[in-house]
Amino acid sequence: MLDADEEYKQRVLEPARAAGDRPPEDLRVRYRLREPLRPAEVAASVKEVRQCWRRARGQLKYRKLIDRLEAEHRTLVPVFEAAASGDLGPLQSRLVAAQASTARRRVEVKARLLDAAGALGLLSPVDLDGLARAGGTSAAELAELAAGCGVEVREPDPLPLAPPYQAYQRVREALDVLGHRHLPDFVLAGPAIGPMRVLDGFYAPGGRLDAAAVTAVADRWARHARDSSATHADTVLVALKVALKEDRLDELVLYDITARLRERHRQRASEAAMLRHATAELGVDDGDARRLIFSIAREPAAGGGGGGPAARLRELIDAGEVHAAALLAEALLAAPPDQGGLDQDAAVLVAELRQRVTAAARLSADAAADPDPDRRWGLLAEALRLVPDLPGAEERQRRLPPRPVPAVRTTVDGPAIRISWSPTPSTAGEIDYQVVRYGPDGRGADEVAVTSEPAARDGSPPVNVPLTYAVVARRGLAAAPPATAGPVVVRPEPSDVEVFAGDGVVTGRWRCPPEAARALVSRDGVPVLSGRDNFRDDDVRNGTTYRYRVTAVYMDAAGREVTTPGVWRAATPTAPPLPISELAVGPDPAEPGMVIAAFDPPGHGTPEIVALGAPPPWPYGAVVPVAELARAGRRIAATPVPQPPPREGLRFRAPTGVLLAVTMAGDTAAIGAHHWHVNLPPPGGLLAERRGGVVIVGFDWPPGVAEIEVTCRTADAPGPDPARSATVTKAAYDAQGGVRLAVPEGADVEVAACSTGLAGGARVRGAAVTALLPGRRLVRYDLHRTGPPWRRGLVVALTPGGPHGPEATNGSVRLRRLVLVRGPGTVIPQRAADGETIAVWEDVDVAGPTELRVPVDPPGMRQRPGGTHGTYWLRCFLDGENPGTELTDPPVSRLRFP
Amino acid sequence: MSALTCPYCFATVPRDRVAFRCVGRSGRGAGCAPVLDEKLAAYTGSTAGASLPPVFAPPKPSRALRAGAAFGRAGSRAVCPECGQPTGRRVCPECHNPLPAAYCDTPGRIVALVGAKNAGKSTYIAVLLHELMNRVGTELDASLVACDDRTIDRFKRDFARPLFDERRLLPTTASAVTAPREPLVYLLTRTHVGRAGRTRHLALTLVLFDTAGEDLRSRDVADLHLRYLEAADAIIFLVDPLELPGGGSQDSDPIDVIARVTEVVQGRRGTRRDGRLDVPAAVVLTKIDALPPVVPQSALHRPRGHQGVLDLDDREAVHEQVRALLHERQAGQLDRYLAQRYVHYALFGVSALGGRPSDGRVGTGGVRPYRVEDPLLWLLYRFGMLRGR
Repeated sequence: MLDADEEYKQRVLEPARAAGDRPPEDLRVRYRLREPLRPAEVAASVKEVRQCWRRARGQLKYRKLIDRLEAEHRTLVPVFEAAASGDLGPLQSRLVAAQASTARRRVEVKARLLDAAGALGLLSPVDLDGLARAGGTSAAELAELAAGCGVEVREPDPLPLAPPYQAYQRVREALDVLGHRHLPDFVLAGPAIGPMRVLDGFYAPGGRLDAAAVTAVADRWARHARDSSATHADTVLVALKVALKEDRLDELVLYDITARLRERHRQRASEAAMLRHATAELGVDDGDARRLIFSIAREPAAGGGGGGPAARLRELIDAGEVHAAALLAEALLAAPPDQGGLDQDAAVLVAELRQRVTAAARLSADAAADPDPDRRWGLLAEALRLVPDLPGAEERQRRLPPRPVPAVRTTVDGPAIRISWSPTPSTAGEIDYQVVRYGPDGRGADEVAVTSEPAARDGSPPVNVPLTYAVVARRGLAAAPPATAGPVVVRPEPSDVEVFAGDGVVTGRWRCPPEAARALVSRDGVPVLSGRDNFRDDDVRNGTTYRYRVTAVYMDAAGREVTTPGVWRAATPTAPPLPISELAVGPDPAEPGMVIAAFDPPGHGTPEIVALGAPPPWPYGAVVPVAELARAGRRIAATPVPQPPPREGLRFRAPTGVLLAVTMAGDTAAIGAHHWHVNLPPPGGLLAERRGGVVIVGFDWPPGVAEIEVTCRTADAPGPDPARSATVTKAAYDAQGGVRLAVPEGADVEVAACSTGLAGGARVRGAAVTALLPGRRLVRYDLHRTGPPWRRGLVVALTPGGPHGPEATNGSVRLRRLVLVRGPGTVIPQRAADGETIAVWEDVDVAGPTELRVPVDPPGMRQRPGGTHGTYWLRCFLDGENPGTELTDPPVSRLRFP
Repeated sequence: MSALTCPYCFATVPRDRVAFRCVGRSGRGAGCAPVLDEKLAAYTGSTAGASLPPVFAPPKPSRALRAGAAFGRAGSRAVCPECGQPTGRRVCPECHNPLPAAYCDTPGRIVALVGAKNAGKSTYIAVLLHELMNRVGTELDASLVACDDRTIDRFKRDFARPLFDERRLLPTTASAVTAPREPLVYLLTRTHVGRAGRTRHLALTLVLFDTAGEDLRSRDVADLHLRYLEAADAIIFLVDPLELPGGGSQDSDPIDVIARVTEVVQGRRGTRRDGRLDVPAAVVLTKIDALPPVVPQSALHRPRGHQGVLDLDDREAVHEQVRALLHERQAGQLDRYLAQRYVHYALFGVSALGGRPSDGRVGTGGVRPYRVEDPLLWLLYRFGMLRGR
């Protein structure tokens, strides 16, 4: 385990830490996933890696990285859960996305690299480290990338900070006055020389820079007239000779070139401008020029702004290497002043470092002296917070164990064992618990769980073996002394115990644990002969409830039998139920929607009704377990209703389907007769109205019914007549505002409405509700004048039938008293009393067209009762008793006069 | 150029000024984005549903002719000046409500419906529309189409669902003062077969305001609602016979309501030389099932005769029967008033529910309307959309 941890640290954590504590984006690397991906291996690998994280987090240097890994893992939990359950799709998508992200990051890092290298194409290892941290990649990867891009990584060349010749400044002034670009130009006579190399020794294609050359130029100036130029030349020559004498001529030339480039650097010249200045104006070789400018750019600035001791110290502190920074600070303080002293920022840092290291050392010393491990752990944690790399502190802290667990309890939970314990009193640090199971005599230690909770469950402990459980509190690499509980023995009970009651017999069956020696059965304390997994008890009486205990017997280590508490079951043997031979189902007249099932009572058992969706799968008379019956159908709650003896009845609300009569006795049921029932409650509140030759039928639609059939039956057509019946849906009923059927007005009509539907492919009808509409004998009349103009008369023409033509009537219609009324004014008279009676006929028999003459002169009727002429109405009425007889008016225009 | 009357705001709009609404953007295609239609929002009183593609004025006649030649009949389509998409969605330029194509193409008739408080207007509207959509529509070979989504929603929510699905009586309509309303606008289109066998489509615009009785008394609200009466080509007055004569309150006296409405219509349309209005008026006695039995030979006890035409004998018989009923119930003044003020008026007796309700619910058997279509058939006959026999 530890080797695997080290490998993971070296291969994954360290590179990630080097990359600025950035977790590797490739989940294969992060979780050590191997191709091809398999759900079980993925789950196992993730679990192992996370355990490694928890262990590595004990080391301070990994803490930030592990916290990031855990935070990102929380977002990945659904992906890994899906992978563990067999769905690798989300994980594959993540891997592909990570690859794409890595590719994008490489492109970005490459761009940064090229930007940093600039026109020189050079980078220092420090630059590379910084880029690697910023880009979340490793320095090695970045170096490889740089090589591919043509960027050279090298340390800056050490350039002389101080002039090898003390009076160099005067030499520089002299050269400037004499018009020479630099010392080689002075010695080798300028334009003739080619690109010169100044690093690693002076070399110029146009000449050598040695004593001969210096002597030659000195001779030349000796022949020169003594003037101010000669004086300046002497200044230069003296410097050259001194340098020759000290063998530092190359160094002097290097310093001269460097000084000129530094001057341009201080003037904020760009790298390209400096490169151009060095090569074109100073004549330096291109390679040396790049190296010179590269090195000058990375020299600490005079003010300490971009580098120097302060920057390095800050860098170390930021990296958590406070102790190393303190050592560096001490070294800097011990260095001679001429090698560069500490600036103000560095001095502040040094003071801070001293305080931190001193405080951490004091805390570490206090920890060493404190006997309490928790306090020691806390002191060391405080010391490491101040100085994370305090030597030895982290290791000492990781080896401080927590206090042991005070008490451990074990509980047998069926075939498993629950282990619970009180948490360790130690609260410092991250503490987890390792639960270990030991066999007899402490043999065979097996890790059961590692958890941070104070409980665990051993799901598959060895059966019939004394077990001891130890709980170890752990903190870092240190573990507290174990706390133990036990021994505890798991002895499972028989499983799937079932007891069946029959007619004078009870049987039972179960599954006996394989480790058990045998099983025992007792009935109310009396042993019952049994096999390993069943029994049969004939010594029972019907109607009595018995309680059976089924126990498992195990052999302990000493060879003694140990009996489990056992499983209890009850059974009541009964005589076999007898089936119901015949079943009649009909609607309950007392309540719509309820039905009554009538049957002859069975000889034994309780009758019940079970609703099924199809005919019963059992033959008539079969005796089946009640549980099997319950799976096939639904027992219907019913109330007994008295029926004519010897019949019995059950009243219930029946669904559409098969109603099966069963007889219950104990746990068994006898299959009786069945009846296919269609739930067709009758319509409620039937209303029927005559409107002329149409009967309008209305009713309340019963719930759950699809169609209603309405039928009108007359005496002349008592049977079903398609023309006088209609089957309507509720939608049609609502849309048409009731049901309209054409029926002769003169006929007595029985209107019947019943629910209807299809059952088993055949149309079935429920109980019908009816209403009676008595027929009306109609007599149509008309008025017309008759006779010559000088002898006008009025004729009332009577015809049997309705307004729209003759209609079959049974025999003649007798009008007891027919009255012709004249009503004055514009309003039609509504009754005989509304006008003047002109004529009365009694007992008029109308068997066919009949004419009644009025012995008055119609023109005379224009005289209103008041004596004025105007509009008047003539209308006939039936006066007195004319039951079932109605008159039908002619069109209004024939009643209005003139 | 003739003019249209908007069935929503009742503004009179010359046909060449009927505006268009852009079809808007569909998927990734071109088209204008929805904007808040402030005129429509002001009409409905809410910005909900008023975010629509913009409305633009009709093009000039020459351009309209070109557009019409390209996309259909001149004046029926236009090209949106913003997005260049052709559109045939015509709207009222005043209120921006949609004007159905059939209404724009065929001279529509506006039928207004008013009634006193508790006259059963809501129930009558619900049942009449239901009958036109079902039984009567089949008989007349006519289609009834709502002109806008709001009408569809309101009919379902406020009328059909409670009355037909839940069988609850409709509550008394709240005053427009507290609950602003807009009319239900339907287009009843009937295929008319001429004598030469040529068919043509005749449209009748049913504008139904479920007006509370007190709204017709309140001057402010009456001005608001009676605008549609001014624009009406026919008026249906609903009268509760149990409130005759003047038996109800100030808001429910049928004669007062009819007189008030008549004055308004006279003020706009003027009258003939004999002082009567040329607008057909149908006066409908509702709830006739609640009246005591009348003479057995009454036409009200019989169904209409001929199907698909107006039975003129039946019409006259019912008119005289109801007229006699009015006089019998001492409401002859109403009949005389109508005769003096209207050239064409007719009396009707209907039962929207077909039975007496109880406990706020429709009675046994559900809604079984009786003769509710009679007034509309008579108006169709008056407009030449239905033959008489």
